Amino acid sequence: MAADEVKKRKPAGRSPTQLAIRRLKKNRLALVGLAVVMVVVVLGVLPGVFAQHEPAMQYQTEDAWQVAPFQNSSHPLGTDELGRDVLSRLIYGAGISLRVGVIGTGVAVFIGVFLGAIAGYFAGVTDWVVSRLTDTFFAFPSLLLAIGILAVFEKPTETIIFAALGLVGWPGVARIVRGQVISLRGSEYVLAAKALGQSSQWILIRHVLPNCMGPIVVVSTLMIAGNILAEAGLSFLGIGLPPPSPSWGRMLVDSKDQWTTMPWMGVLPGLAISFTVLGFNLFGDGLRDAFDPKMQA
Amino acid sequence: MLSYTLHRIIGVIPVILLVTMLVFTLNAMIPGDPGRIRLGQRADPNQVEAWNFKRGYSAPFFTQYLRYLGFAPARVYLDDADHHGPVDESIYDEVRELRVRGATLEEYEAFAAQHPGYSVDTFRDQPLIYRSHFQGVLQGELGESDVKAGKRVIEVIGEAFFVTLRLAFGSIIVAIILGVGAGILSAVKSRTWIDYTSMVLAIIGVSMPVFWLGILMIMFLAGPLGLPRSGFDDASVFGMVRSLVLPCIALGVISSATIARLTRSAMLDVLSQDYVRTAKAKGLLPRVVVLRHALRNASIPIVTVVGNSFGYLLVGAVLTESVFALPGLGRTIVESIAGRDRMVITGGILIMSVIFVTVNLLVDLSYGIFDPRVRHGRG
Repeated sequence: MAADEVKKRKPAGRSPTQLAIRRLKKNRLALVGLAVVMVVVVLGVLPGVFAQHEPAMQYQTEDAWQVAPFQNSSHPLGTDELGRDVLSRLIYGAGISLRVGVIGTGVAVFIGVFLGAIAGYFAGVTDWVVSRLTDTFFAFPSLLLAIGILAVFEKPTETIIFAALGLVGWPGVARIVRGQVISLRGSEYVLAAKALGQSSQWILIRHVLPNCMGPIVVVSTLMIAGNILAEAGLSFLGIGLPPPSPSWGRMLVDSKDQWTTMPWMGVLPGLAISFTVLGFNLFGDGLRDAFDPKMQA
Repeated sequence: MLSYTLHRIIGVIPVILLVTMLVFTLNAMIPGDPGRIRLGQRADPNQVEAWNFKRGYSAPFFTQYLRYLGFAPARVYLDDADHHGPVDESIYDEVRELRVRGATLEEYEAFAAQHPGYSVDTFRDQPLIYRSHFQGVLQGELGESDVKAGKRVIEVIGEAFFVTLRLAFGSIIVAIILGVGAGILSAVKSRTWIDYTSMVLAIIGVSMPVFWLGILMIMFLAGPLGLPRSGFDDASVFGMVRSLVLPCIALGVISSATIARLTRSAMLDVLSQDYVRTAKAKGLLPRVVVLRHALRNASIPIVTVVGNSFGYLLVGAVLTESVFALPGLGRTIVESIAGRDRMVITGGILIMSVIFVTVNLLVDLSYGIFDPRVRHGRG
């Protein structure tokens, strides 16, 4: 590289985030993941634009109650055991998966960052109490705790599922944030901020937490994938959203007796779940590799 | 090592106590009056109240919790208007035996004749409370099912537990063989098509719901292989194995994905160490280098991963049991939610969590066996 070219560049260089984004752009699998995520987001946010039918509407064609995929242009992916359009239900289901995945993760991240940050920053008794609480929630196999929480409600709504997944997911975030905060607590710039007489809250919010963002973003993306799987699982167990909700997990379990006669009902919703989760996982893995090259698997 | 072991074991105790508290709080929040659920919608309100009182459901929450743990005495009742107060454990067991086998009225009358002071109705209809004094979780007693008359939670869960245990055992073997094998192979053949193929399969495995793999296997594999689609046949060993093959493969394959990914990165880490290069330079066989120098040192992260996957495996078992209609612990819990059998829900979740915590503890303690550095380190 020519010397004058180096001089022309601004000495400030790139921030770690910019470097991470550069690494991310080179990761082809991560970009595939991002594309999948974008598709699901668009479908999930605007289902009415893409779906031809209402998700709960039952159709009866002249020859049969159920239409197989690719037989009828009005129902490209066929109809389900009750004559509802499968494609439309899958599209509306994307919205449920997305909301549960994202908002459930948001709740977990909010609780986790708050508790992890105060535990890491204030140490002592606060740390001990929060850490024991974290251990307790870690003592449950995750989905089982969500099952226990949902058992309390006869007809869970989406809000209840957000809350349940948030309550289940926060300990993972809290542990990561606590570790990060402890490692940053003794850094020079935090000492400098303290010397300037800044308050603890200000230092935490302004100086410490922004430097934890990388790991938080990575863990959140992967947690969205986990929450989508969890919601599908809960619906499959019949303790998620009540019918006629087009939740993918519920579509699978509701067609349970027809899997042999209507194989598409046993295949398509599962494909939708796997495809979406795969997208978030690929993107999350890419983010992790980009933000922390040391952790590259 | 000993003090580390003790430290870890003692550290688990407050966690388990908090777990019981959380589980019991959830239990108390389950909607519906337990007496109503047991006796039916049209039951006499006085009877419902009496049932709740005898079961201890009308006590304050904290008293209920202490009784559940076994810190507070729970009174024994087997009574009606004519008789009050504790009764013998022996009578309790005999009455329960009569109920379980569905004895006839004559048998009850004969039994009542042997035990003056009780009426036939007492033996036939009154709730049985077997907790004499201080019998709760601490004494290994999880209470009595709210819905299944005269059945202890331990009995309901016990049968299911062994089904889940077999499923978990079979799956973890499949998962270890597939996962550790693929992970080592990927690391050794790093950046070849073997590596890429197995890692792509692994991320698909991580993203696929276990119940969907189960459905696909039921739809496309069960028929051609002549294996049962669902249900559990425990009449013969052969039948049992046949009904567990597909569930174990489904759950094992899904669990192996995470194990493969982490085994690969642990192995890659070790393979880049100086002592591996030294071993290669000495002219040792590649097989010896991989198995003795690398794998031995990668065993800690691998054991951690396998141990942690056990937790996901328990969760996966709940879903797998549901797909294949296996009468395991997870399915029992889910069915109890539908039936509002709160003592079984509580007991089931508690048992699963205790297994989970215990496995994690064993994983931690096993480090010493695999790595002398830990054994001779602190403590």
